[in-house]
Amino acid sequence: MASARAAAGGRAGLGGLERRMFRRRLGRGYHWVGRTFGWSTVLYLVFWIALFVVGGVQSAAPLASPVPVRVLPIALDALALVALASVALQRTPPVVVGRAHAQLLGLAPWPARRVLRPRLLGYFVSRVLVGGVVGTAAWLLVSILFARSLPALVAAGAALWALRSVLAVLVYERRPAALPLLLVSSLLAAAGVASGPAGFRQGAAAPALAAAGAAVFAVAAIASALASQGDAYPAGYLYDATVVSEFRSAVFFAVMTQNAGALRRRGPLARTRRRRGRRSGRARLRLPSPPAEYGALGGVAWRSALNLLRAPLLMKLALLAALGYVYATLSAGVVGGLPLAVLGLAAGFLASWLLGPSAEPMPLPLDPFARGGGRVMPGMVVTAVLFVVLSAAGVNRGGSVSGSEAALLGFALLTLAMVTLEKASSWLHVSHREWTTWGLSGLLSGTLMWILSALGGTGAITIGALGLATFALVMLP
Amino acid sequence: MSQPMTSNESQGGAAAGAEAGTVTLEGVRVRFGGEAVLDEVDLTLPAGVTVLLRGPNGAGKSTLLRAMAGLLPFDGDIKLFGARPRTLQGRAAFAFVADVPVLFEDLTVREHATFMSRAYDRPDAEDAVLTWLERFELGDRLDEFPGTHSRGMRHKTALSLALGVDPGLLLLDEPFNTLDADARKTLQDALLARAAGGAINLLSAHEQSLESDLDARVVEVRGGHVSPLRG
Repeated sequence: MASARAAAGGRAGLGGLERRMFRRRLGRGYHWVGRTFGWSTVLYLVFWIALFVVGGVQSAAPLASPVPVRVLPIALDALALVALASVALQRTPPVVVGRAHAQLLGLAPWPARRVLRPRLLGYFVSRVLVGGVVGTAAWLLVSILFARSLPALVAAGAALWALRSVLAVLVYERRPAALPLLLVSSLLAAAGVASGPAGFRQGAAAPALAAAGAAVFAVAAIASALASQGDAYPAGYLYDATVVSEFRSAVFFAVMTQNAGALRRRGPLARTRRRRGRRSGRARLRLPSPPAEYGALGGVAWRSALNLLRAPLLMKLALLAALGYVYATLSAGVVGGLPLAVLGLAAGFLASWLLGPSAEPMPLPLDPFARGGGRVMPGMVVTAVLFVVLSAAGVNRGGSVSGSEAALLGFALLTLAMVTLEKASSWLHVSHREWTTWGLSGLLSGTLMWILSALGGTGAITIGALGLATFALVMLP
Repeated sequence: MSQPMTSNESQGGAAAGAEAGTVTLEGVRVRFGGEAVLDEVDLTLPAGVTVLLRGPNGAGKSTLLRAMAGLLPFDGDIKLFGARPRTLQGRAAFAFVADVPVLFEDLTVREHATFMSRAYDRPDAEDAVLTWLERFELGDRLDEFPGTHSRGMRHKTALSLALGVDPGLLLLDEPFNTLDADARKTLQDALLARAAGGAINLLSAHEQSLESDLDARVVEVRGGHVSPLRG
């Protein structure tokens, strides 16, 4: 009896310390916001945002010719299915503890369920609230697009997000219960599609019933997920939680420094992001080092090529597809002023990929031509090879522009975008991966392409763009 | 032959750990991105020893310690006095201090002592931790937050927490790196006393002199493999 009382006292003591930590953190955050932004500013912003939201909702009027109602259940069920299926891609734990908790409490003989349960409950509650907000937005959109008022969508959204959060926990923990739950939820969504049109025509009955069913299902699933929390943590949880909590801290730090006007300090976040998916030294892709006589230009080009080579596979494939799309657009004869300006804008973004995923600054005292030329060279080679292959393969969408003309024009456009991006990044001392930099470069490239298109045909535009890129590369610092 | 610990044993500290047997690793493999950082590690640590993990940077010393603490997923089998690291009994059997000490930023040093005694359900541990903090010359800094302390002071606090719990197995990742001369002597004495009492100390370190100072046995870690215990 005495030991039971002592144990209960120990648990209560630990809970008290946890609450004390939480209060102190809250107090620190309160004072920080007060000092940094001022609470009066925050309240002022909240008031006006609320006013705008309420005003926007009140002024929303249904479409003059609403979308046919038979589309509604299919769209809603498709959204629900996507929301549920996306859980399968999740690899990180839905609920994390900080590094100190992972090492000091996670390694102590304290049951995992006592550490995770309050956090899981908080997670479920926050997800239900998010689902409610999503449901409210859906209710509003449905009333505008379909001229139907379905307040039950609020409850349906909350229930769906509750279900999604349970699935996230089960999928992360690789519990066998995840599969039947996924199946049942998919069946529920499918049943919604089948019975939806009739129900929607009659009013709010179908979504209300679906929401009630999903809510009961979600509550039962949450209870089951909480009840199954054991003494030990799921395999790999403490490691994952440590990595994710560090990543979140880095993101928070980056957001705060960015808000403070220190864009350049995003280096730590970029490094953490890369570290998240980094392979150990020996497993990474390699390129033979360039001979010393190639000088700084060869060295920078080698570094950039390595950077591009080590980009995630998905990013590389997306880049090739996007480049192919640029070629296809040009070969279809879309070479007027406005289309080229839009393509120039898009090329700014593509250039940020072509310069590689690394956002490391290059503070070495390099010759500007060696730095700029080296950084854009691998991207130029990739673009040239791809466009030559597409042109040689006879890929042409039957426009007024030949394959070789489209290839040359596309190459010139992307080279101009890469060079302007490299220069913008160097001048601003901001990574080429920042939207501010590639946005500026895209704007500049787009404007230049527009001006060039007013001066002549594709040949003149190509020569002009390549000339401008060469001038910038050779003459500008 | 190792035996599973009972809950009483798990709370009994060094002596209980020694009675329950040894620490064994069989075919332990840790992978990062498909590459095995530790490969087929077999190791048995008898009771009452201090073991030094030696090897170049990146050899896998910290990885081995983290796997034993259950902080890294691994293949193979690790038994800490008969219990696996992730179980309650396994976690009661050891304490781990990382090379970069981890503490709560919102608890004072004194509250950390209370926290550890509650987390390990050991009312006596609070006084023990405070005693170690005194020995590490942090007695007058107990009501300060660790965020205001230097890295060495944070390391002393983390070591005091681990020593105060007095586990059967102490896992220390490069514990001497940030300590001043007095603190090094305090830690050396503590490790010698623990080993004499039957507990196991496993630490990574680079200093050659530690082998004789701690009367330690040595395990070489190189290229993901470990040598047999020597010394």
